[in-house]
Amino acid sequence: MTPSPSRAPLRVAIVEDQPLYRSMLVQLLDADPRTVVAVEASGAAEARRRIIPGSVDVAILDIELGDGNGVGLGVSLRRAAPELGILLLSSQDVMELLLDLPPDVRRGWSYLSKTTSTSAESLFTALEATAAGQTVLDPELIGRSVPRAGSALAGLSQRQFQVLSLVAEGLSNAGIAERLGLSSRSVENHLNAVYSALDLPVGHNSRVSAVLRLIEETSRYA
Amino acid sequence: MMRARDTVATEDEEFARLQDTRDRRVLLLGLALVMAAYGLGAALQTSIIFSGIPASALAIWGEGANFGTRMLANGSAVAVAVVLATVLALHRRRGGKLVLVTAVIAVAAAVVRMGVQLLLVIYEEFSVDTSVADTFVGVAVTIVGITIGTIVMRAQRRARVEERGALLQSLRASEALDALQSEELRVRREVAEGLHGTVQQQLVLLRIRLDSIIARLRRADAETQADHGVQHPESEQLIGELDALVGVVEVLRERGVRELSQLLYPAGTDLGLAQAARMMLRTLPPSIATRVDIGDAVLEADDPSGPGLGIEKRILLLRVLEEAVSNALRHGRASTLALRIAVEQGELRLALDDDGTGLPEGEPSLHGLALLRTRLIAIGASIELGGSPLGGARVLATLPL
Repeated sequence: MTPSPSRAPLRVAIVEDQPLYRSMLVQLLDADPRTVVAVEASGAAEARRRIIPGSVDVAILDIELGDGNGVGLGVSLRRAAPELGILLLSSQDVMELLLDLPPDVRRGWSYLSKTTSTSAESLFTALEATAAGQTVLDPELIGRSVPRAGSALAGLSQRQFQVLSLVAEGLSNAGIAERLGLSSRSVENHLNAVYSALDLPVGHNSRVSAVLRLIEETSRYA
Repeated sequence: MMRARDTVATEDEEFARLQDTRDRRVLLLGLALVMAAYGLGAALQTSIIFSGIPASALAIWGEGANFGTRMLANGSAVAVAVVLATVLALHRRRGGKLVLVTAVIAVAAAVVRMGVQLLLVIYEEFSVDTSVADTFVGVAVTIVGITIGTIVMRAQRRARVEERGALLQSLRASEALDALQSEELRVRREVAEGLHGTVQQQLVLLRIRLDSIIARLRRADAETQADHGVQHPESEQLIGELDALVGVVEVLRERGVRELSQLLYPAGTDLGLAQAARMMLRTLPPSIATRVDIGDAVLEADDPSGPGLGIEKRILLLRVLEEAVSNALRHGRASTLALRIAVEQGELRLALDDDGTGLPEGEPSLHGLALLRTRLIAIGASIELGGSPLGGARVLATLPL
């Protein structure tokens, strides 16, 4: 994915209690034309105070904060600003958190691990997709996920599972087509087959729902 | 700790205030009852016996009888004694002051009684002897009243103090238990983190070093073979042994350390029961079908951002789930597990169903769950074992919220 200077950069809030990690994130995002760091906070209370609804497009929240947890923070930020994308970061694999969010804020949360081989590029991809209301999962953790016996996911063909995994990485249909050397049309067909296998209605939220099913119906022995 | 001590201090003040009020009530009641009983008895006696009229209603209320006036006089004495005892805070007096205040009250009550009797002309013939004797009787009765009232008051006070002491003792004991349990949780978490972090890391490093030794051996072996055309007789065996060692380290790291740390402090515990339960099930091999149904009310009841269920109850329920899963897979040879966590009728219910061979014939055996049952009962929870609609067993833990 190449930087697109025509669009206004994404306004990002960074809430991370480890100073070094935080400043590295700030530098990384500020140096790229696609993003600009709007708010920087070291804890939940500071973040609640400083993140003004409407001033941020996506918030990167560390889950293990010194004064609370990032999930609770994300829920309250999201309730104040329904358009805000939330990207959770954690050193522990706790991707299931996305399944048990309160129903009113369940859509458009993403999760990246601090300890897997998450690259800067996958972070930017995740930020853009999350700001657009998608749910993005950690690529390495998706790679370790195996469909569980008896689940609808286990009924997908290998290609369909591969397409769904790339959706979970935050790629657009065009991006998936490019990665797999397929036509956009064919990617769309695969995706529709995935939705119907998972019994999801084709619509705005079906991408997110399908990605959540990827967490729910796989086995992951770290 | 600080807050606990402050609470105890205000509780002490509160208790002292309550004691004072109760003391006064008991003492005044005792005093009034004794005096009233004596007054009634004396009035009846003089009206009936000394009047010479046979005992009858007429003797009491009839013409010439003075029962009513005597009762009025006695009543006034009781009233004066009660009012003075209140004003002079008789219930708080000890030793010499108690004697002095008692004397003041007794004399005042007796004099008032005498005065009322004189005023209402009870005596047909006034005699100094009779009135002095009557005053002494009044003093004596008041003293007896105060004495009995004080004895009862002190006995009750002691009983209350003892009762409170016992209560405080049990409170302190439960506080100590709480402190002990939270300390245990702290240590568990630290050990789990240590295992997960440091020990795991050391094992990873060990594995890397073993790998590099194997690689060097292989290189040296290849060089020897290239130079001399023969292989070192032992090198193949050595490499094989090292490979096996790598396997052991891997198993230790993957299973041993992880399982130990999971046992001490299940992963995700800090993030709520729902998250930790899902994390536990996700590690099962993909050949096991799982279904998870967690109600929204559960997420509200155990919101990790708030107090939620608390770590202790979460760990206990997770241990139940762990045991239930391991029973289903090991003893029941199940291939499908269904977990349901819901809030129903003010209770949190965690049920694990399986499609295994079900409960053994006869008495349902709880295996490791039996140990957990005692701990569940201690927090007011319960555990039941029964059949499942899936064909195997169902373990149901119920926790009142």
